[in-house]
Formats: sequence, structure tokens, C-alpha cells
Amino acid sequence: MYPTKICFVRSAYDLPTTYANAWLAQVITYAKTKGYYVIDLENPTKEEFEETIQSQQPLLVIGSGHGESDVFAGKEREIILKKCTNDHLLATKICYLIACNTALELGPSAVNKGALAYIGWQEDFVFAINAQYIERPTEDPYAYAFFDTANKIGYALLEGKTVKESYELAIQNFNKWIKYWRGVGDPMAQQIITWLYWDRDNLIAITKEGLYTIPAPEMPYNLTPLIIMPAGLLAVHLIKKL
Amino acid sequence: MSIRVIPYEEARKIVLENLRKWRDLLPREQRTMPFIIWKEHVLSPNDLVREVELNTELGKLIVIAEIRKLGYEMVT
Repeated sequence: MYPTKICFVRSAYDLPTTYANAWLAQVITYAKTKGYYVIDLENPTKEEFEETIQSQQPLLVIGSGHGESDVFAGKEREIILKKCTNDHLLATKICYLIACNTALELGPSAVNKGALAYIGWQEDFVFAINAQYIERPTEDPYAYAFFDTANKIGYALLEGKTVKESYELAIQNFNKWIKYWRGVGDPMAQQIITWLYWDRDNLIAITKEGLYTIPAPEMPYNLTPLIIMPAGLLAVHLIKKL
Repeated sequence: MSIRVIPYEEARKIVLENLRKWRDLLPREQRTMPFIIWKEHVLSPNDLVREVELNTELGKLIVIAEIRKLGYEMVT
């Protein structure tokens, strides 16, 4: 039996992508140790991405890079995945992207075209850094909580957990880190907490069976199911109105 | 704890006050250091305050993120 194929798609050409790329490398190492057939696309062009997905047909596509609601970018911001253009390539695959906004339009569109699931952020993925660690992103204590959680989803999927389980593990991890930073005396903690809440509430898993946007148990207020509007959609709505 | 619903401008005022208080307690050199990564932008604590002051797209996002953390929802 051939090992399951996993395709990693990552780019690194500015500070945000350099951080995400460095952290995703840890998941790639883990995939290799687990015996997966790993395809590592670094700074891919659209052509390279399409050719690889078509010819290799990986079960999982895990990526990091810049995104907008309907696109995901590769090499030097080249759009390599676009809603209703080539998202049909994700059919029969599970896709997880560490990127801004892609779960708003690209994710649902990909699932409509046959993707098994899509996990991503429906708003901007925001994170904190400590300037002293810019050369060592994986040691950055401010960025740690954000990418430790982002990586959690990758690890969970590689361990064979379901999309729902992987999503829930990430939410639990966000809550763990929020609790941690609440107890830390660092003056930057309050802002780190703000953005951990933000990233937690905007993470979404889209499957054919439905969405996973479970309100986290540690939210400082209660929402009834009838008035739940995912934070990202609310933000977009508000920003458009303002 | 129930949701407290407030208008955006009121939310902005609360957030701005909180952010300024936080920023002013930081050592002076830390106020200009890179701290928050939003899209391709790298923002210092001073930049965060400025974005809310100028009510930019990011400023609005900061208000939404901060006010939700504080237990409010907004109406427009």
C-alpha cells in the first residue's frame, strides 16, 4: 500500500509569510516522521501548484501564505488558487490554509466543488511578534500561541483526527493560551489576548455536513444560537456599513 | 454575563481610551517596536492607537476585536 500523500504549499517573501512558513515547517517534519508521502511546494507558481495537485492527488493540502476572501497566493503574491477558477482541484481533498479571509468565499466554493472539507479563517489572521525574535520566528514568545494553535490543526489531521475534532482541538488550544496570557505579567499580554480571541472566533471548518463555528465556552458573554453571526461576517458587515 | 450592545462610536471611544492607557504604560522604546502583524503590515503599539484615532479599516477592525473581548456587541 502506498503512503498517503500530503501536499504542503508555502511561501516566504515578507515578515508574515516568513513566520508562517517557519512554523509550518514543523508540521512538514512531523508528516515525514509519520511516514506520509510529503510534497513540499515552496513558493509555487500557479502552474506548479495546479500541475502538482492534478498529478499527485494528495488527500490533504495544507498551506500558508497571503489570502483574500476568494484567493490564496503563492510565490511573490501570485494567485495560485481562486474561487470558481481552479478550486475544483481541491475536490476529494481536505484543505487547511493558514491565511487571511479564505474561508469566506474560497472555502465554501471549494466544498461546493467537491472538497471534503476546508479549514481556514473568515477574517484576517492576525498575530503578535516580539521584534527581538524576527530572525527566529519559532522561538518568538509572542507569536508562539498563534502558530502553536495553527499547527495543532495540521498535527491533528495528520494523526487521522476528523475535521471536527481538529477544529475543536484548535479552539481548546486557543482557550488554553488565552488563559495563559491572562495570568502573565507581560505588558503586551492584553493585546495578545485580543488577537487570540479574534483568531479563535474567526477560525471555521466547512464540510459538506455543515460548518463548525462553535462558540467557545470561555467567551465573556452568552450568545443564543439564533443570533450567532460568525465574528468575521459581522466584522465585514460592520466595516462595510461604517 | 449578558451582551452589552453599544453604538460603534461609543465602542471606538472606549477602545481608544483603553489602548492609550495601555500604550502609555509601555516603556517609550517599546511603543514604536513591531508588534502586531496584520496582512502585510507590521504595527507598533503607537500604530495601533493611530489606526483607531484615524478610524481606518484596520482601526475599525481593532475596535471590533477589542470591544468583543470586553464583552460588548455593537450596533450601527
